[in-house]
Formats: sequence, structure tokens, C-alpha cells
Amino acid sequence: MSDFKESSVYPVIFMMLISVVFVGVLAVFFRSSEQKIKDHQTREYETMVVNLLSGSIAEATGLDPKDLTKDVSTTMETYVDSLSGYSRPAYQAMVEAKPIAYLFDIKGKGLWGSMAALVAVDTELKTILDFAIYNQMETPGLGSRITEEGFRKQFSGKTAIEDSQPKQFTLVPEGQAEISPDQIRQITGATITSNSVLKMLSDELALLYNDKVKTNE
Amino acid sequence: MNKKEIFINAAFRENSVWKQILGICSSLAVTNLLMNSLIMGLGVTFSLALSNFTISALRAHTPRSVRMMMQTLIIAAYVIVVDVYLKANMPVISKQLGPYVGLIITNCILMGRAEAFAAQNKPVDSLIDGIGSGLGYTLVLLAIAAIREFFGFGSLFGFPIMGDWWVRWSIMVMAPSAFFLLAILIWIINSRYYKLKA
Repeated sequence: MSDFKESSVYPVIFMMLISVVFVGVLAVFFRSSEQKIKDHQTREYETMVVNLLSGSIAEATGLDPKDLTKDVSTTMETYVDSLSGYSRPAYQAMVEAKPIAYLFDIKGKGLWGSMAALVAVDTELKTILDFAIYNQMETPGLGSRITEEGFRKQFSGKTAIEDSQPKQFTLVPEGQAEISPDQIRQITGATITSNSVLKMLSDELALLYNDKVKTNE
Repeated sequence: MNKKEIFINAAFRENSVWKQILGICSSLAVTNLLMNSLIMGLGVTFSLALSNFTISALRAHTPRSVRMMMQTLIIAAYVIVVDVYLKANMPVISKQLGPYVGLIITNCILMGRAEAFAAQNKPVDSLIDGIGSGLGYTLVLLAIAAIREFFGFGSLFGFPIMGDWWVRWSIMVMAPSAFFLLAILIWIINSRYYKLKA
């Protein structure tokens, strides 16, 4: 036995054995928690979907948006359906069997990495109703401020598609008031990130608009 | 050394943070709220105690050449257990702690105790040493977090202590305050309880 311990293969075998044991234990532990983790992620995602659509649903049903966002899973079941035929994951808010708003899961490139966002639009896909970025790797404190309410709420009510063409938004400095309706107040110190958001929105909405035109034909 | 002495040594006399100046980065990063610090401290204590125990139990069979590799593997395994547990059962806290739970793997305290204590001592002693070091670390975290949360948010463990009239010190929420507070804490403890060998 002591001869074996002195041999040069012993460390290799020892390390492999240890690895197998610990990785095995971890795998079992992870598998047993996996469903719970997935449920949390789904819930978080659904909360965002409901938050973005709650304004439109509240308007159509006369309910309080706060009640809609309080019970996310019920709202999801009653009013939100998934939608097929689009290049991006799509959902629609249904009130009395009529679609009142669409919501798309869009992706784009930021300064440091990709970003993902949800955008709620009207059923003609022309006006942005609400917008939120849920995944980004922008600079903390600068670019990452695109997730803040002050920035993202600027897009509510903006026209995204006009005469079948995507509208080009432009940026104005943070301190200035916007003069024309297609201007967005940028985030100081994060010009590239701000522009990336605009590009993501116009590119993705143009793509989705084309999808819609195609499915209607 | 008896068991009690091992514990007191690890938690206070040879405290990882104020005496050995280890684990500084996480004590700066997660101390803005008491709850986060507590969870982080318990996470470190759990992985530290169990990795110490395991490493010590295997020490007679461990070839010297792969000693560090094995320690890292064992530490990583326990830390991932903590990370997955938090993700599954405390998603909010897990999100607030962000990458820092996973980064316990690289926390110098764990590797330090594994090398300095667990590799030479009995499993039960190592377990006690791990618990002691972990609680000593938690104590420092909580002390800093209590000051930061009190002045920064006017609350303790999320319960509002000060009324609405309280003007929040935003410096306490930001990273620099952790630097000041940790430095002051280390200074006070060292000048009061440790005689410098001139």
C-alpha cells in the first residue's frame, strides 16, 4: 500500500476519485434544486411581462394596475397568451378575446455585451407602450442606468414605425428638454450604450413589423 | 490546545479580518445591508467549516503534489452548494449578493485556514477552527454593516429605526465608507488589544 502511495500515478488517481465524488454530489444537489431555481426565474420574468402590460390591461378592463401586478400568475393566466409567427418570443394581452397589446422579448448589442429587453407595443406595432431592459452588462453607474425608470419611461407612447419605416430616435443631452417627439434624453457618460438601446429598439421593431406584415399577407 | 481555545483563537485572537487582514474584498463589498452580511457570513462559515473538516479528514491520504488542487476542489464544491441553495430558496438575497457568493471560493480565509490549520490538525479541531474563523469574519461584517445600514438607510435588518426626518448618508451606502469603517475598526482593535512588537 505504501509503495502505491509513493508511485507517480497515485496523485492522479486520487485527484480523479475526489473529483468524481464531489462533482457527483454537486450534480445530485443541483438537480434536486433545479426546478425551484427555474420557477423563480419564470416568476421574475412573468412579473416583468405583467408590469409592462398592466397599463394596457388596466385601461381595457377598468381594473387597478396595482391589483394586476400583485397577483402575477393569475394575471398571466387570464390576460396574457404567447404568440407565434414572430422572430422573437412574443406575447399578447387579451381582453374579451381581443388582443389589446403585444409584448416582445428583444435582443441587442451594448457596449460590453449583449442586452435583452421586453417591449410592449400596440397591436399595430407602431407605438411603444412600455419598455424595460432585463439583462445587460453595461458599465455600473453609467451605462447600467438604462434600466432606471427615468430612462426607460421616455419610450412610453413614442411612435416606433411610421409609414412602414422604423423611426430613427435621436439623443439629447441629459439636462436638456427634448424638442421633437423622437428625441430621447441620453445618459451622460454612456453615449454608446444609449445609442445601442435606440439601435436595438429600431432594428428589432422593424424586424417584428416585417414579420407582422408577412403573417397578414 | 483544547477545543474552546481553538475556537477563541480562530474567532478573536487570530481573527481572519482584523489580525490576518484576509477576506477584505468581500467585507467591503457586501456590507451595505445587515441581512446580506449575515447570509454572506453564514455562507462563509458553512463552507469554511465543512471544507476544513473534509480536508483534514483526507489529509493522511493526500499526496503533497496535488494538495492545493484538492483543497480548491473541496472548497468550490461547498461554495456551489451554498450558491445553489440560496438561488433555490432565497432568490432575492441571492440576487443582491450577486457574484460574491460564488467568489467565496477565492476568499483567502478559506484557503488560508485549509493550509494553515486543516492540513495539520484533526478533523473535529479543524471543524471548530472553521466555525470560529467563519463567525469571526461574520462578526466584522455585521459590525460594519450595522453602521452602514443605520446611517445609510436609517434602519437595522430592514426595520426602520429612524423616522422620515432622518437624512440618509449616501456615502454610507457607497463603497468608500466600507474602506473607512474597516480601516478604523482594524486600527482600534489593533491599538487596543495587540501590543506592537517594536
